[in-house]
Amino acid sequence: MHILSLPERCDRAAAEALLPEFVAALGSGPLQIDASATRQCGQAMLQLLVSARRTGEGARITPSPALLDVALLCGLDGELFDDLGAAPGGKDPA
Amino acid sequence: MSPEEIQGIFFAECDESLQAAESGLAACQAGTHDGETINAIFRAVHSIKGGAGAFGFEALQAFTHTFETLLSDVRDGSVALTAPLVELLLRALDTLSDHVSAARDGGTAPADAALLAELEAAQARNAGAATAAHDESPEDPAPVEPAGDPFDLDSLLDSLDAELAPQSAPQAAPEWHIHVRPHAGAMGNGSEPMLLLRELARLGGRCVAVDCSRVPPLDLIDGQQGYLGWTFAMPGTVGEAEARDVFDFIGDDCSVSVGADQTIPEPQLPLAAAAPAAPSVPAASPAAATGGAPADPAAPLAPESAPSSAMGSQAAPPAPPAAGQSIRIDLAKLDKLIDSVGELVIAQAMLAQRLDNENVTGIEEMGLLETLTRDIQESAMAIRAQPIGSVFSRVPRILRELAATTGKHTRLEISGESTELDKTVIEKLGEPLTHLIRNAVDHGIESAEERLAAGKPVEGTVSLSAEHRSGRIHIRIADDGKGIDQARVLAKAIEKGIVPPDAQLSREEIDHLIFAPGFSTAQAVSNISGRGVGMDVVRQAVKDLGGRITIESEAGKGTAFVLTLPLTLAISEGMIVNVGDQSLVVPLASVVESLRPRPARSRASATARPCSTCAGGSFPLSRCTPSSAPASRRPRPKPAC
Repeated sequence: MHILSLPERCDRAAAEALLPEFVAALGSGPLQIDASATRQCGQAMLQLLVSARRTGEGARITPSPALLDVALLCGLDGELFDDLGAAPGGKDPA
Repeated sequence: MSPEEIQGIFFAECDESLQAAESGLAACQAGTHDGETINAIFRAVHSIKGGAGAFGFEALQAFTHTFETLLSDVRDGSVALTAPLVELLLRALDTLSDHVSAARDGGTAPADAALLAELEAAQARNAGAATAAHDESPEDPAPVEPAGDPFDLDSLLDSLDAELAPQSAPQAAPEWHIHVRPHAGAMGNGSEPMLLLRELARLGGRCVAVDCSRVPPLDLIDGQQGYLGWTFAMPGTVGEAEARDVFDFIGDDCSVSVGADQTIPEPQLPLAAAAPAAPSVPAASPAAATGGAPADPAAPLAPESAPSSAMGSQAAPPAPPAAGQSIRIDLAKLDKLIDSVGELVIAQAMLAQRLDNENVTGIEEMGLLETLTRDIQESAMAIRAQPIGSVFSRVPRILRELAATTGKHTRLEISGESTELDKTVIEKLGEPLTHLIRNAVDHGIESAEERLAAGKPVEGTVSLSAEHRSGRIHIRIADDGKGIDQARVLAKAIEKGIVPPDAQLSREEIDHLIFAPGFSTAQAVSNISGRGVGMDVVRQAVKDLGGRITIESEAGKGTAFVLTLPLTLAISEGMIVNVGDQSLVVPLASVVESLRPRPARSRASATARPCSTCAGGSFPLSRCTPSSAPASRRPRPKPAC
């Protein structure tokens, strides 16, 4: 299992820097993403995580409280994490 | 553009907003305001708040939030704009300025708890009036918030904390939906969409749908593009304008639509990212656009140019620039242009000189080249020119602080604030101007009792004016105080050994003694004046700018300092002086008059030093050639053309 660790500050620069590692991990089984140290997370990293979850054999993310908080804020908690509540699709349609 | 550069733009806009708010509040103080004035103040503070939120300056954002809440009530007419309130708003503006400085410099945010309490109290005091105003006038004559939003959200949030909301919010207004789609620019310009969503949440919004369907697989994803979109349910107490304002700062980089019949706007993706082509998702299908149900990643959106795009506004090409639109230019680029223009001017002058040396004259094209070079130089200078009002705008705050410290209240009169001069001069003008203003209030303006006794209004007047004159700018800082006490100045100068006791000085020379290093007539050293460094620093700063400072003072009437400054420091004109085989350049700013001293006008003074009489005065002559050289070898000056 390929393990990727996310930095404290997951802004666009971090997402762009990590993208090659994500791509390189494709085909080597489910991806394990350790985000336990993440203190800030922006849209670029969130969509990278969504993409990782949806690509190949998917990914399992270990979130930090900060990542969990931002995922809850923008309705991505169900999309990103296995053990949490309903998927966003279960929310009220717009 | 880096995040730091974007942040720099934000702080530049903060300065503009602070100036706009200062001007607006000055109009309120003078009683010359109208509805648009209040709107402008509100917009200025709101703009700072928006940027502060986007960049995560929490202390700044929190302060502006309370500030704008009160301004919102003033704008709506539910809080009366009384003189004490204007004074409170001015103090809030000063603290806001300190907050901006702290955010920009990474310093400690100012202590604002007491002021925040005052702002909240001012709003709370008028809560009853607000209700009454709404009861009496349900149709706001100049509503800025959309109709159907009779409650101020922030007040309600405050009330909720105290569990008072049920009393003040009789009927909860229905929720409404706002759909947002940040594009690449919203992520790439140093801003972060998550902060904007957090601001929506702070307004009471909650995410009800997220569109992940545009997110491509890892091998196709572009880290710079925005693929996600959201729908937030907003409480009915929040106006559409208030929610849209959250996204003001990033402008077109985030598409926003409102209403249950709308969907999350389409993303703006380059064709490469949008391939392969597939039928677009019908905009009228909320489930397709907003349902989090994993859409088929292999069926991405149609390119933005596809005719089926129902959200045409997002896909439309940018509108042509409106007339009068301005752009921001990196100062370094501008300075490079100015440098190049300076080199061009020099090259043109060198060419003309060379041709002249070769006795090649009367070339028509040279005249044309000179004219064009001058035009380019003036145009380049005009780009750097800024109105001096940006310096004048800091004066009201200085006067407020002086009033608090000295108890002397002064009225400010400003004219010519739109007079333009070079940015560098403006930047260096702030310090001497501050010194002069402080000096005018501390030394010039009398105490209230003294003014009454002298038959003057209790409130002193400080006037600032600027005007262009003969290619230079004249700035006049005048007060209606007691004027310079010449006897005291002279006595102090003699006491300090600045002039000998038997010195015979003209009135003008006595006035100028206050510029001597270490001179001060202040009885006590305070943090305003009395250390004898201020006026010396002022004169040096003005000299460094290539300018002059003169004094006009009349006992009992007041004092005026007149600064004569060059319009620019980027290019200085000079007069070439040839001495033997040396060419010297004297800055034109330092040349008052040029003349040829004739023997008849030259005479030896009492100290045996030759002097020349001209313009009603007697000036010592200095010989440029070595005095040891025999007179026959001294070159005769060439007659001027």
